[in-house]
Amino acid sequence: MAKPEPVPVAAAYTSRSRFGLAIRRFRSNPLALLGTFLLAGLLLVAIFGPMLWHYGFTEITPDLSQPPSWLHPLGTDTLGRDMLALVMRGMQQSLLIAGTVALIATVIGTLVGVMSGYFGGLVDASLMRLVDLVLTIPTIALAAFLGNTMSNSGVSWLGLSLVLGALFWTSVARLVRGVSLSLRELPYIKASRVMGAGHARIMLRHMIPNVADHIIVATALLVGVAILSETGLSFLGFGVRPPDTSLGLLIANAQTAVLTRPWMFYAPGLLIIMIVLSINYVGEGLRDAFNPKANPTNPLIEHRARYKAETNVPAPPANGLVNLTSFSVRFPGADRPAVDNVDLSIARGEVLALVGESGSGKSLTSLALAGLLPIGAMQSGRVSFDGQDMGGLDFQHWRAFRGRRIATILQDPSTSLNPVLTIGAQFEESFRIAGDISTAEARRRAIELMTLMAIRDPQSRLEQYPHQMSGGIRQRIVIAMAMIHNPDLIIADEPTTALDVTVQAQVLDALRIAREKTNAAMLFITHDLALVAGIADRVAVMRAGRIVEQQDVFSLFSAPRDPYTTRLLSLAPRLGEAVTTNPAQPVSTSAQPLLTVENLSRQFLRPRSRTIKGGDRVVHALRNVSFDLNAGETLGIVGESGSGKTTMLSTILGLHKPTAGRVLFEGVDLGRASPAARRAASRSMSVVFQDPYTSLDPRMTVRDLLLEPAQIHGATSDVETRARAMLDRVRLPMASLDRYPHEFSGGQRQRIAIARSLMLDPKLVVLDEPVSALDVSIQQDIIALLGELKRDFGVAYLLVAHDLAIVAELSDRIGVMLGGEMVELGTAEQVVHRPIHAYTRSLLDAVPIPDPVIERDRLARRAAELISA
Amino acid sequence: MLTLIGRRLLNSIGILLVSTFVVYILVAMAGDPLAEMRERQPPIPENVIQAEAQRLGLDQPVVLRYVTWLGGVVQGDFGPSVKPNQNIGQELAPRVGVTLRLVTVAIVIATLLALIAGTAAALFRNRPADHFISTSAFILIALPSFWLAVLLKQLGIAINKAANARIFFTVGDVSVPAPQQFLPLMADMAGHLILPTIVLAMIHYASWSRYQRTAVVESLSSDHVRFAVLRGLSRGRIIRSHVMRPALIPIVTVVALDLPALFSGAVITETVFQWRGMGGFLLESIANRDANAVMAWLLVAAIAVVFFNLLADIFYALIDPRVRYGQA
Repeated sequence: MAKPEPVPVAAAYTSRSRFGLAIRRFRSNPLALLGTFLLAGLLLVAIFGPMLWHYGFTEITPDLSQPPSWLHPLGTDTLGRDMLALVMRGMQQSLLIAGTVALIATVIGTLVGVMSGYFGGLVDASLMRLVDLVLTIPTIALAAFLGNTMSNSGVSWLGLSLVLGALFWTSVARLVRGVSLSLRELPYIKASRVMGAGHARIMLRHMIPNVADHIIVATALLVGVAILSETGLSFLGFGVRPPDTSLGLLIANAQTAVLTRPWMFYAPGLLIIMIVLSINYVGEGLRDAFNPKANPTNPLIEHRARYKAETNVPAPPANGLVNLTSFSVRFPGADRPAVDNVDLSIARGEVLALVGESGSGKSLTSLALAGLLPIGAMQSGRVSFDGQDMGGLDFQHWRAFRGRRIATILQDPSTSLNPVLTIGAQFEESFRIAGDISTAEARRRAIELMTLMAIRDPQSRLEQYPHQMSGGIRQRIVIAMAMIHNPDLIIADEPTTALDVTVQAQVLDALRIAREKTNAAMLFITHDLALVAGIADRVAVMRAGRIVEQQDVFSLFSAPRDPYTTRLLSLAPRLGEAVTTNPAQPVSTSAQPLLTVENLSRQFLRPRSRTIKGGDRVVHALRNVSFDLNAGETLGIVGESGSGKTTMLSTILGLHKPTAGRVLFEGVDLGRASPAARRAASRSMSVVFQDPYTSLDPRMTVRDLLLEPAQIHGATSDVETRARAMLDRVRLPMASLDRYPHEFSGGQRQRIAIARSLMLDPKLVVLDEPVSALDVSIQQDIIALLGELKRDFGVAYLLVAHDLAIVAELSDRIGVMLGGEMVELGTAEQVVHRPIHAYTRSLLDAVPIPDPVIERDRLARRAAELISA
Repeated sequence: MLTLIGRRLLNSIGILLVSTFVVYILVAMAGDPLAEMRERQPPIPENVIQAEAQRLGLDQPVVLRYVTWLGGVVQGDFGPSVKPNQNIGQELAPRVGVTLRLVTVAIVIATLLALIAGTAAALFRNRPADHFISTSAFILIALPSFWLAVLLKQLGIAINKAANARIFFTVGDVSVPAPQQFLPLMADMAGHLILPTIVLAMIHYASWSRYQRTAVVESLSSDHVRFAVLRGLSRGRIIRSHVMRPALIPIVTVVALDLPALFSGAVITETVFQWRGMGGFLLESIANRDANAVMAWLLVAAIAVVFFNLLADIFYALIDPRVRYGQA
């Protein structure tokens, strides 16, 4: 049953836009505040000072070259002019010009940058060449020449601003373009395009508001640069000219007077420094406020400072390799400890699986074992390894354990290896930590280990860089590195989560081999209970920082004690059951299909490079895919990464054009349809993307998000009522309407995305991995909700996912994709129980079974098959 | 690698061609170089002005003038100057070396300093060393280069006076007359370089060190550094191969992008220290509205920028295998 999660509704809770949050962060930054006040003060002086001060800046007094006094607080110059009046006038000029320059540069830069980033391709290439071109010109030279020739009597401030602005826009353009390029690929922009929004609408409503923070920061910093350039030009005599004055000109006049009349030199100089400094602090403050980064970690610093020694902790049991006793981790400001009084032990050679959903504290527990808790974490309790207390060890002492006795495997193999070093070099440095070893010997042993990990052609892998190999191979290399020093403990932190299911099976095999060869104990951390069945001896289930249950694997699966474990077990998808519970849908075959895909193909050209030339550059992302989808039917498409399933969706949704073939929606060929017909079709078609964090525009409230499809298509009926009804259908409270996406959890956001997709009563909803970014327990809620909505609204789903179990649960028919081709298409029942294609069988076989007895039996059979084969 | 350089080179030549064309048109349209002549009192006879216009090629359409100018440049002739007896090429050539000396030394010093200070600030993030480096960088960024130049020059003079000896060279790029032997000449040039280099290097070091700090902070929190720590590597090794190497990529970009600004800075610095470099030539040409001379200057600067950018591309390829294999 789809059960809604609590929505943050406190009595005094006021919803804040991201802008509001940024302002709050800005206000808590002392340097930025200081800069703001200083800048405001200087601005006030520049604007009102000349009106209030009793000397004009052109006024010549009889006091020549006077040092500062009550009458002339900053002294006078050689002509007897009051320095304070001059300096205030100079500031006025400098700020006016710099502000105008920044404004001009920002407007041009934003326009060019957004166009360049949004349209990409040829538009981007030519605009960026223009930027390159302007960037080759030293600004000051051209500005001086143009400024000088524009008028005989020096230039007006406006002329100077125009020239400088026309040269400075490039920095803004580059920045905005970079951000826009990445925005363009974000699901919420794509969702808007699928809804049928025009280019102008997308750029104005979605792109510019989302680059606005970057633009504000760039503009602020540009004012500083512009002041320095203007004063520099004036100093050289090509900017502001006498009788008017500028801070640069004042410094030029005082060049030889530094020692004799220092007040003339220091006052304007210090003012420039103060202005630019305050602007830069404001700019940096704004940047930090708009893009709050998660506190960056530094794994090199000592960890002793964070260790709170505790004396009353009972001594750990003598047996066991690893013992955690009353172990807690607490973050300042958090309402509950992230890890709460955990007792855990791992015996020598034992495989302990630590299972939990995100936020359960399982990763923190494993990080503590490797001495890498994040900055700010307070640890208490006792962690011991092989009888030794690990609390308070410094970096040097940890080195005796890391790599040698405790080896770690991280989640994402695409980022855990250094991208700029060869695999061979990384192996070698790992060998060297335990003493000198010759390169030849290191290579020989690395090849041995890689052969053990079933990596083909290990010799040539040594010369390669990580980006040249697939994720599965990278993870097996990481496992090989873990084996180097025969560790006592291997920590594997979600080692297969980032991998495809067929690759996952290979990596799990590699882990088993590594464990057998080294005889190490293993801490296997995962969110997927099914994975555990085949590998663990003992399982600990974590929830909200506590261990709720700890049992040997067979008892845990057969007789779970804690209700949470029972629930997790019930959620673990069982393929066979999923299909049989699916009522056979009577599908009308007589009527015209809702969606027809005919021989759809799509090719890409890989960028030219040394290793890829000519015909090899063509990538066939999609080859001759054909299928029909009837009204009210659910077609599930399964495929691993690189199977072409995403390309197929994008092509059907019209995000890119097919190389060959047709997509017919209600009989209309979308590829050849007029823009009006396409728009009409986009009304009956909507999409829910994978990542609920990026598929909703963060600058829009839920109301704006839900109303957008109606606004695009000019719906006249009462859309607000409809929005409320839809929100109710997805079980979110009405109070959600005025909130922003960031105030919701992942599952709630996905509900909003689903509500939006149903706003215009579509006939087809495309679901692109709708649950794979969510926790297991939430996945089931969303799947139940989707099933319910389908029955009530009679929509057809085109569901794409990598997880066969999820597809099987929702689909009437299933298509299997491999290498851009549809290798099998049949009813769900047939594909799951009587697969025809070998790949479908291997896909089904790779799905782990959440039952230790069956799973182990199956693994043993597979191993036997491999040996006999 | 060679094909990469070749492609970049072709690309650069294209950019240079278009850029010179645009700038030529801009400069030609910016004003009449003979305006001052026309307004002179007593009036100069019309035929003299006509002859001058003819000598400078002003009677021809601007596109044709560009083609003629380009043809000349290829053969080493930068066109006629407003000053009748000045040969732009001969005047500019020795100055180019003087300015490049200043710019190159400043780049090298500023980059090295930025690498060290930025990395140190990131490694000691939010600790006293970082606060010191970051604050001083902020102040240096806010310093106008000309103000710093004047200040250092006057300080140098003051120190020389106080010590009653020439400790700092405050005028010119080399003594007049210049020493004849090689080693004393080098020492003399190096002495003259000190103060201007400090000015130019400091200003750019400051902003580059900020970028380097950001890059290292980011690099430090990347997965592969965490993995390197978990593999048990030593601190020094992690910093050198796992933190610094990937963090070199952004700094190379920043330095390459900042080169035109460095040339602008060099103009100011040279002016203050009265060097006979490209800066003086530019200012004089601008004052004379000598379009061809300004064009020659811009061309040299643009070529230098393009050349340094090419160097940056080569650095990229050396640092990052993904660039080398054409997949980034």
